[in-house]
Amino acid sequence: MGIFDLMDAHEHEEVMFCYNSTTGLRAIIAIHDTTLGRALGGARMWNYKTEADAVVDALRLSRSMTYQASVADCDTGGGKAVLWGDPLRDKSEAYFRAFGRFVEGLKGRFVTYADLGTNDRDLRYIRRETDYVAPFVATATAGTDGARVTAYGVLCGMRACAKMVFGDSSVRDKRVVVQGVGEVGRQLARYLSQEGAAVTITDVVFDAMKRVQDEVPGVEIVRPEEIFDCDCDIFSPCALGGVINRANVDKLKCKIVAGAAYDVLESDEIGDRLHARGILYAPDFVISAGEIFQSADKMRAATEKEAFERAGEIFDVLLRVFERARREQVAPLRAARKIALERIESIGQVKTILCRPPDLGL
Amino acid sequence: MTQKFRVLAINPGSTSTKIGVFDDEEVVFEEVIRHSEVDLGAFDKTWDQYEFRKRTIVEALRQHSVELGSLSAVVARGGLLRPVVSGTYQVNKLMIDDGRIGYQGEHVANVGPVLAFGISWDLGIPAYMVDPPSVDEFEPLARFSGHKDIPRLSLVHALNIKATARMAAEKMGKRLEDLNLVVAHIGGGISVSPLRKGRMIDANDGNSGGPFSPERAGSVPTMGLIDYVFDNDLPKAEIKRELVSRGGLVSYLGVNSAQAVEAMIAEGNEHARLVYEAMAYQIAKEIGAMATVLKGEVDAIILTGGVSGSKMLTDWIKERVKFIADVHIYPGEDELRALLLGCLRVLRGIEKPKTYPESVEPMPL
Repeated sequence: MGIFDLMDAHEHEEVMFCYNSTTGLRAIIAIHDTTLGRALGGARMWNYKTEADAVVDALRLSRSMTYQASVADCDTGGGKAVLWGDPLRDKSEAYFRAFGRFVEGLKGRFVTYADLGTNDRDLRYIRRETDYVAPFVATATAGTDGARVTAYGVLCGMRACAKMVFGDSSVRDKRVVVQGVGEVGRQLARYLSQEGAAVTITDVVFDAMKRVQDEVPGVEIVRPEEIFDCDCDIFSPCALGGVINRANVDKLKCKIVAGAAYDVLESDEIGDRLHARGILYAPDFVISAGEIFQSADKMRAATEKEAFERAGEIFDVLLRVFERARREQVAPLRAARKIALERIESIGQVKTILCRPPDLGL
Repeated sequence: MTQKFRVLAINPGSTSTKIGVFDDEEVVFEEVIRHSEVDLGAFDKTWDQYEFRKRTIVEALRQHSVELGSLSAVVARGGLLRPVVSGTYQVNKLMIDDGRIGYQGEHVANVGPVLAFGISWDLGIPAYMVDPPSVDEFEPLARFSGHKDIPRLSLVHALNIKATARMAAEKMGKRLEDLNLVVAHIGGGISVSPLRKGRMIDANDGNSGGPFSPERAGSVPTMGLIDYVFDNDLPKAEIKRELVSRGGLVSYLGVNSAQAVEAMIAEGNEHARLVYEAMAYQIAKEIGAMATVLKGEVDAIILTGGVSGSKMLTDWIKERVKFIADVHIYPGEDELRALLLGCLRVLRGIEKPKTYPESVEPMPL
């Protein structure tokens, strides 16, 4: 499938390929939809196997960002930058400044922030070339605090799921399996333990698990390949996308899937299959919205209080999604998409009203 | 052709991490990675040194051009874990949890199993621990101390005692399980254990009893100890240090090496000679006591550990215990090899790996 076919399939506005031979920068900036506002999306650095994998990831993730902002009642559009490289090997000041200049060239159509594989230091270099970097909660440990907001949002989303499935919004005594304990997964494991849940974790990197175990000694660990064999109440994918696929969807032994990772499902049909199996799926772009609550809509940093309050709203948003799904007898993923698209459509229509007449120079 | 195994063995020490990579029994390389006070000073607890020590191990492997992916298994020394039977254990979460809290106390080797596990996890290979100091094969009679609130614990140099006993049995052309041995590990601390058919059915805990050693006080008169504690008004940690690190030869002579004492004796220092011979006397007495545990049915007496390389000392010991059985001397201790052999026994299917904690019989009190 060609690039334009892919853009058509995902309904994208723009895909920009950025290349700089001096620094080795190979980046793709995908802008999905800007009806609601500037396209907001993280800059993800990952050593993709192929160029096609990088393109597809940029397209899928930017589309999720559109839906996320819409359902979360934010006035931002969906975008994503994918930096095709090895975060351990390819980073340099010049690399990120080159990327910053490409972002600047978009004149605010795209606003970025740190994502998987990038960090605050990288952002500092990007910011030297462009102002279009999202101003997240400003604290001494901004990276960790951002993860806390996202994790808190996921916890609130799990409570909504628990209310639907168990009739009680508490996760106490529920067995939760967390796949991936980077910053967000680690914070989530802490929250869950504090709430009295029984937590099992896994990660391909043991040191990440040890950090969690040192803080929360009661957590259980399993090997990554055994995660789908775990009997649990809630499966929480917090690593990479596409982890639930045709090969493993029928192996899941849980009642709820609710995690921070984007694009958890290989395809929409997997969401239908979960629905058919009676497993409640919290749409990824709804439950992980805590990430974007760190910046207010007008490029202003949210206070920590604002960010946590908005992350707490994920509970109600998800309940509305589940109610809509129940009413229309569709999978929650499809219901959430509908809600997102309806808002984009209605606000898009509103934006046809001329409110700033052109200066005719009369 | 039999399968070859490449094993990484790790022995964490207080200021170093000894590692070795072996292709079956053959050494690929061994290295003592020294850690500076500045590096280790950055950590409050030994446990927190995990990532630092792991990084230095991985770096050493890289420098020796050993691909991580070429390893078959990782084995490490264990610390003061739960009392367990002797053997090779698969590292599991409970073992790591016990290392974190220091189940029977703080010990640098508590970080060993988590190092093995951390390296093995990322590679998808097994991690093992062999014969930690908390190996407990005591028989019920050995558990009585003389006061119901002060149990007699099995905290022994199990790794070296077991490995040396196996080596001696092999040299004698027998199976360890068919022999009765008394093994004395003579190092910075001294453990003497009677092995009945391979099991350490009794032993002194070098930190709190038995012969005095280069650094440990060993058994001291209890009344004298009570007076010492109350008369000096010392904090608990300080008293422990006095008995464990500043006792024995250090207390009497101010030095902790056998060579230094022998040099003093060579210069005509009669007091040094008396102290050194007293250490041999106490070791011999402990061996005699442990021979009674075996009711005198002793096939051999084994002397091992770093200080058993001292001919002067071992001659004095032999003179007093040779009436019991032949004395065999295996100087030094090769903990990396002991770890390796324990790991290979499991990899080759000679032994099944044990699941921690394979518990000992409960205290009959």
